[in-house]
Amino acid sequence: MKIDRRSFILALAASFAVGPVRASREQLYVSSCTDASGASSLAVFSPEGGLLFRTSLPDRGHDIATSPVGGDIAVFARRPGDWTAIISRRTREVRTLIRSPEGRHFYGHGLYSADGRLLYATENHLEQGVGVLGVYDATDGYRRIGEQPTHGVGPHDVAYLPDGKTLLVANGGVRTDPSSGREILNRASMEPSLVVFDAATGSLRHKIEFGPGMRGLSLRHLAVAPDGEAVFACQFEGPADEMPPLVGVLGVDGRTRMLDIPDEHLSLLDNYTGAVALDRSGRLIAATSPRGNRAAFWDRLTGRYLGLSSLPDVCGIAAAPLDGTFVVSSGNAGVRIARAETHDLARVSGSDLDLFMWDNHIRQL
Amino acid sequence: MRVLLSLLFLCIGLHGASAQDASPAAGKAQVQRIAQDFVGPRYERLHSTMQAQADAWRRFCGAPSQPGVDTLDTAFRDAVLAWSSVNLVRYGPVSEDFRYERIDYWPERRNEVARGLATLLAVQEPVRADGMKARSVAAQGLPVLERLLHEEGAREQLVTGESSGRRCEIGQAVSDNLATIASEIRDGWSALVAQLGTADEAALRQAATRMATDLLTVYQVVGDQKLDGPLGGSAEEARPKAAQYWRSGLSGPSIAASLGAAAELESLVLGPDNEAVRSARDAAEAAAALSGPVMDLVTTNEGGRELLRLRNAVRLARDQASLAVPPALGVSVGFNSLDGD
Repeated sequence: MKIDRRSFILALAASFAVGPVRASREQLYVSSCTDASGASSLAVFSPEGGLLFRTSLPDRGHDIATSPVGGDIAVFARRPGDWTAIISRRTREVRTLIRSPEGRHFYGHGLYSADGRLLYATENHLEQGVGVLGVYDATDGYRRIGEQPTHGVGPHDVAYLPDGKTLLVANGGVRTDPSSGREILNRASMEPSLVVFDAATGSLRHKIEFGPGMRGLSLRHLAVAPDGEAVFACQFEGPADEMPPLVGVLGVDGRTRMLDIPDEHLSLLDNYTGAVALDRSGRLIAATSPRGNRAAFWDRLTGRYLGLSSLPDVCGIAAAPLDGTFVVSSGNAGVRIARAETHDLARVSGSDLDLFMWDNHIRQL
Repeated sequence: MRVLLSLLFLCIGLHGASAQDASPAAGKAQVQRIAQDFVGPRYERLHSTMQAQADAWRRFCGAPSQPGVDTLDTAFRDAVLAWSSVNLVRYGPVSEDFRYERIDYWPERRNEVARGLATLLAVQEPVRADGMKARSVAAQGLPVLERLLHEEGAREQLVTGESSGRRCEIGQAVSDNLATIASEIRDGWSALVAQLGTADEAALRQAATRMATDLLTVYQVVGDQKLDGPLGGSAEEARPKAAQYWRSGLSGPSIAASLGAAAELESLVLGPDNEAVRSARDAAEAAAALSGPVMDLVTTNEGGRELLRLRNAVRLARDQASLAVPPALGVSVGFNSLDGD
């Protein structure tokens, strides 16, 4: 998706009201959103106080990474995007717009290194049809300084394991090309995998492939627990009358286990999850299905399934400040707080949050 | 396309209300009209046909006969068509307690309906309507009744077969339970209509969003699952048994009823002379005029082309509805659900 730099600058000039400065203890969240006029922006908000500020984006953003040291927020374009916007928390403006190099495009996810020096972004190597992790130097104007293989096709989400040195990437296995939009070019030969590799050297530590029995299952999103287990959430591209489990856990021993869910609940997820998160304690799992209009919850330690919440077009999800609770967002029903055990949804006080179409991912700021 | 969409959004944003965009008050009135005038009567009819079907089973089981099976079949057809004319609604009481899935579990996964029916045939204890809720959703809806009436040898089994008594018991329990579910939905909908009368703007917007989403979903389900599913890539790759209600031959009539309901809903929102409404009616009429059962049409080139024309009509109706209906209700839909990431 190409953007027109001139229209972006015009759009920047046309926005935005800036909210009041908030108490520093309030937990803030960040997500991309679209307003009623169709304009895309990055929004910073709190469930208690509503919108803090918005910054104009060139187009729909997808996931967000926040620098652990500086005040930078990186917003990755929705795939197959050609930009990543770096927004300064201090000025609330886009300070750098990274463009994908020739022959690459962004997949919508990425993260900062633990020291904040580097920004990694999942990218498509168009010629070879394989995934790479682009490496950008945050201390040098986000210059692209290299890339590492993701050891698979169609990388999507990427996360650090708790050692802060090893990366986990979900290779969706789906090959696409911007010239044909988001069409899946290899439906018959998808090879999804989870790959653990060294962030500094790119060397492969471990690759978990999902055999032919799981063909059609595309790994997309990740959430890593403090104890080193990682939750992964999938989409199924096969026939609608097949219904594989969609959410699993990668144990510290490198083995995967899919989480149980009753068939009638699984069928409501419509073979699709859009995001996954762990609560503040790291124990409870939530995965959202915007197609099924449901969020599903599990206890990671016991594997117990906890139930479903209903919210239309729900997708964004992140740990809320209390254990067992999540902030969830929707493309058409605003923002809510979900409790995993009771799976009820509470409205948030910032009703101005209802005015926006919230994009797929929320992150804590 | 992207530019066009951006322009469209921009126009909506800058000019607020074009001729069809809803003010909050108009949107509220629209939602209440849909709830009262469109959905309400359909749920009444769903309940009355489900109750008539339960009564028919009770009478049949008093004195099983071949003509009696025909009566059951007519009652089943009425129930399926009443359901099909309101199955686009997924919002409200039908979405609670798995009522939608308990009425109509489809597409059938892992042969669950067959397994559910086999379990009911095999259990020692009597099969009763009040025990249905605890059973698999696949074992308690219209698909079970369809198998009881239309599986190979089913008629003989029902009237004179060894398992005739047990099959009658299952038919009565399932049809009674369906009537109960239909009454719960009807009552729940009346309560929801009352709530909408005093709802705040956010709740009304959510209701309108759900209605618009449900409308677009029915086109997606009919096009992608009910037509593309059995069609496959070619006559050789066709999957006739992927058609819903293939056993009873109600695939086409059910699709026609769903599309007819979609056209009527759009007509309420957009007015009868709207282009999107005409496309919706065209699709419904094409479904009603199919020259044979879907499961037969998919296996010939000519029949396949007929279904492809219907599918294209459904797509056109969906595309036009997706542009016209959400702004007319003052909402936007499908931001993440159509996203694919």
